[in-house]
Amino acid sequence: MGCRCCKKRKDSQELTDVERAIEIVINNFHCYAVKGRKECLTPNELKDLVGQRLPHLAKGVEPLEEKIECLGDNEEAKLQFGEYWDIMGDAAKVCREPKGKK
Amino acid sequence: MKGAGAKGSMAVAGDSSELEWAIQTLVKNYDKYAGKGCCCRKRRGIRKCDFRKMLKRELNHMLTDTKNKQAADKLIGDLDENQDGEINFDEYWNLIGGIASPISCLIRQREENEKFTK
Repeated sequence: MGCRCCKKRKDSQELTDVERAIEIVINNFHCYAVKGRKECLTPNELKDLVGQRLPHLAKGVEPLEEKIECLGDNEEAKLQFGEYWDIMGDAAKVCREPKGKK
Repeated sequence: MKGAGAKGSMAVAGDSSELEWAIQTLVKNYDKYAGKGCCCRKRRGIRKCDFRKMLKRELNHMLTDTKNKQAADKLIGDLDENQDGEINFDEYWNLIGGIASPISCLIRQREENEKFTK
């Protein structure tokens, strides 16, 4: 997928790490949300995003198919930003597990 | 719970993608503020006052925009209704999402505008 996202904004050097991180998460969403309604990801776009951008954290969002099924049938299913953010939250939990538990 | 400073120390190896770096950064930020004030106790949530500090310090550029500021004010207002007193990871993630969502709309609008002006 020829994707030129995550282009740095001119003022990005002024941003804090947290702000840059939020921008990156947002930019990835827009980068993959290209078909149809651009404010939503289709199931295939989500699969591509997770497969290509989350190689180490993908296990946190499994089973992805199940999550997609909850959104409705494949033709109409689409993910809004909030739902995408929730899925990224599941991925984030993978980062927390190893050191959180003893 | 020390030594978490090394880059890519946890589940993610050093060759993580940009998106993974971003997610890790947000997780680390949570840990940074959640750890405050209770050094050797079990990990707890972020206290409200620390969350306000976090918004000010870490999100000061993003929250300068009036619309975003309104969103943040609302978030903090909602926090005060929460009797729990501490913000756990899920709540933290939702709150940041609440800030990100309007920004996401702005970015999309800007991209649309750029397309038309080209």
